[in-house]
Amino acid sequence: MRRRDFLKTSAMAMAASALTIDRAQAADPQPAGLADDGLTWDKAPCRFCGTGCHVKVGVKDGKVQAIAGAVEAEVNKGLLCVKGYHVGLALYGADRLTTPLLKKDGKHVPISWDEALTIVADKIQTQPKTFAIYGSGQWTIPEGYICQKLMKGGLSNNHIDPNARLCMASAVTGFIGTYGVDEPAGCYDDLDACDVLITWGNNPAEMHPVLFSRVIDRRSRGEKITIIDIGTRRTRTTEHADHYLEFEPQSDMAIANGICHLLIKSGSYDKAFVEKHCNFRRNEGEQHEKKSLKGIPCTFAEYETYLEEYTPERVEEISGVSADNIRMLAKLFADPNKRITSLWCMGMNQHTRGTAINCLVHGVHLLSGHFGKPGDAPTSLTGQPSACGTAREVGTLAHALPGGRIVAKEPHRQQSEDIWNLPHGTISPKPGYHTIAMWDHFCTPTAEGGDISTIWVQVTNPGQTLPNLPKLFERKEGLEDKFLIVSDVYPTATTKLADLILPSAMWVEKNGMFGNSERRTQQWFKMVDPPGQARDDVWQVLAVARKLYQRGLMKDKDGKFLFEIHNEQGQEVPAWDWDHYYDVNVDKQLFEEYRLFTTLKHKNLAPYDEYVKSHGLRWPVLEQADGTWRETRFRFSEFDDPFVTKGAGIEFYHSTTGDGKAQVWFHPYEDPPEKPDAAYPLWLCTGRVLEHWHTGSMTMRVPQLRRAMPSSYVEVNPQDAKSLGIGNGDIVAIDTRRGSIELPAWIKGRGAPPPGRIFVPFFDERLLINKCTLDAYCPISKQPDYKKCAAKLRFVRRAGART
Amino acid sequence: MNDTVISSLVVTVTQGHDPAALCALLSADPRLTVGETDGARVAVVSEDLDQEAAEATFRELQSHRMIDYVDLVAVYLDPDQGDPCEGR
Repeated sequence: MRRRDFLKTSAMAMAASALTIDRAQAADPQPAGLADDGLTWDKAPCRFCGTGCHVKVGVKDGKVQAIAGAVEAEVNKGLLCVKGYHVGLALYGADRLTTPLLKKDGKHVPISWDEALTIVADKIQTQPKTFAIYGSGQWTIPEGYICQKLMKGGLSNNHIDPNARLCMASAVTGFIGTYGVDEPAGCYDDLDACDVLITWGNNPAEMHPVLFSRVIDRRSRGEKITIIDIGTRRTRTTEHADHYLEFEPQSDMAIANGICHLLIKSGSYDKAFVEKHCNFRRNEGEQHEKKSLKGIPCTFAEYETYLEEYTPERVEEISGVSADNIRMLAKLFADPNKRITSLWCMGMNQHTRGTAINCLVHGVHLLSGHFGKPGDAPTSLTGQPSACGTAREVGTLAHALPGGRIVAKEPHRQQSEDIWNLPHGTISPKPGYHTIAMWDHFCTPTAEGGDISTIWVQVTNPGQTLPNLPKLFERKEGLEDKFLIVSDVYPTATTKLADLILPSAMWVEKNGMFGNSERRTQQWFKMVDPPGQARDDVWQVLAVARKLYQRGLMKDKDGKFLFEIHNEQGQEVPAWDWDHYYDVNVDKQLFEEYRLFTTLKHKNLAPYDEYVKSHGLRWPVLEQADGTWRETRFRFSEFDDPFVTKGAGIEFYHSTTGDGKAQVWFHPYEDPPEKPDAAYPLWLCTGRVLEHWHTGSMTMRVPQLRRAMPSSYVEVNPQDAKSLGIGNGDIVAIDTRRGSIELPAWIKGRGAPPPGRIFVPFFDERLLINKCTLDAYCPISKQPDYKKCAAKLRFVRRAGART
Repeated sequence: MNDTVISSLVVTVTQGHDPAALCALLSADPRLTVGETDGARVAVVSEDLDQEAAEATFRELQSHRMIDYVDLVAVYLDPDQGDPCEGR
């Protein structure tokens, strides 16, 4: 039988079996009807976005040969998006990195693993304080944890930050500023219970399609759900919306304030909820340096006064959203019988006032009492599969420690030092460089104060994703004393400038754990071998740490190796030696150590083996009297959260004011740092597309996905196109004050920006839109704004014309 | 047929339509192989997941209200045919 015929037979058996089974009772992990197809099936979360869909992975002859949605997984109930169905092919691009490569005379040449690890150890040992790790929301939990411990515990160096700084840092500061603790109170179940779904600068129909389908499925069953899309351009989400409210970039702040103004003015806010559960807060002043996560308290009366100017008419002036629509929003929130879920992602987070707009939307929900019941929730979505699990919970941000601890607080440092068996005083109290500062210091000559000498990049592609690439990445070229190490699976825009490339295993080529957008921790096992000499990122760090230990570093206070790994008999296993790495489950040991931190701020996780048995559990996860482990769907609500005091109803037990109350913030609308002007008359917004995940380093290697969306483009409004003499497919130049690129115009494309605005996706490494974007960031979260800067469009040549 | 992906699909026939007639229509497309039916649903294998076959074919049928849903059950991959990034 030809291979293709075999696959067709298997596919037909699978389809036929699906006719016979009750989806809710499907067997796990092997899909029903496939007992004799020769494939071995196991479960894993999808490699791509932050939704955390579970897939079934079919392996035969040492390769991934089939993908199915996991029917029993609560997140996706068997459904996957087009990327998820093709996730297995992301492993098999023809140009996988398979050997360590060192740049010599401008070329990358193969070297041995031992040589490569020695170079990394040399760089760390000679300049331990100017070494940095730039990680990822795609790090598995053990990968992030081992790097965290290596840096903050082993080197007393806090220069570690994840790319998640670029995608969700403002959500973190919004949650902490409001509730005193990070991550959403609600979960995806809210999408099954809401009467109204409001998307704030968010396009889940393309970016989180499986989640969006939960709402659309309810509609198709005859349920009434009102969808309100508050956006800056029409998208596929808009096609499903009952109301599309198009706002002037940055003015979402005014819209939120306008809703609160009307709720108070009409007396229709939830007085009982506010009195019982809310305090009010504002910043000390409007100067940049006065903005902080603490702010100062204000009274309800003062809060009401601050909102006075945000009348519907004034909000219309600022935002372009009609006063009637502001009233419509306020009326919805005033209705206690409606269940309202707000969703947001990059639109609110990649914002120079990202913390402020996050706090304001939480404030709308708190003021109106639309909180703490299924379907009533302000919920941020993440773009990466473990932005929550690894960046936020493991705390791989430059100021953080695992389990919601921070380096600035001595008790927190001591808790970490105790768990790591280090002397008190080991961990530095000074936060390291956040992402923008890290890369700025790396790309600045040492003589001019650029005090980052080496960066080890893992599981991310900053050469494509950093804003203002000419300043924050491309300046590295020619700086001879700066050394860039990149662990990755494919050549990327980042590896082009790398001095040392380390080939990594990816996804089911290694053990792993992710944490998705709804606090769900997920686990999978290695299923296939990585190609060539590609190896696990955890092993890479472990092996470097061992070399440092042999040189007298990486010791605990008893002189033992900081990363000792033991077998079940308690004997030490030389897991730093690749030949022995899989003698034990290193992930499990790192996770069990990390788990000790999670009880310190009510983010309790279950033992590793509980995740092996499940399709993920949402924290806090607590052991029950019968020995089972129970997850929590709705935090702060007594009916579901075991940490809420009995009789309290709702309790914000990490309240920054220590009284169990959340903070409702006032933040005024502020202009963005750069607006269109005579020289650069257009707003430029960047983002993603359905078919590609982030920089396309994986999905552009999947033929089906690449054919579906082969290259980048700029969406142009027909009116602007006409005035500039641009036709569909014509090559145009986008100029900003940072840089310029040329790419084809798409008029009446998938998205539809209004006149004066353009949109460019960032997945195409041949067309780096981040040469043009702005590196201004939120003063609190330090997250840059990719959603708005001033740009100019120029006609270059007709579609099809030769260069 | 050089496509690398083979898909298992389950097509749910709109109530009132004859599954046999739908099977005949689907069979006319060389990229589709029609399998068993339980009277309400039809098992189908597609050899081209790209929008051309899966979407165009099924959307047209949906627009005529012949089918309610197309559930993609699994995707079978050929791991030897991944692509490098174009233009590298």
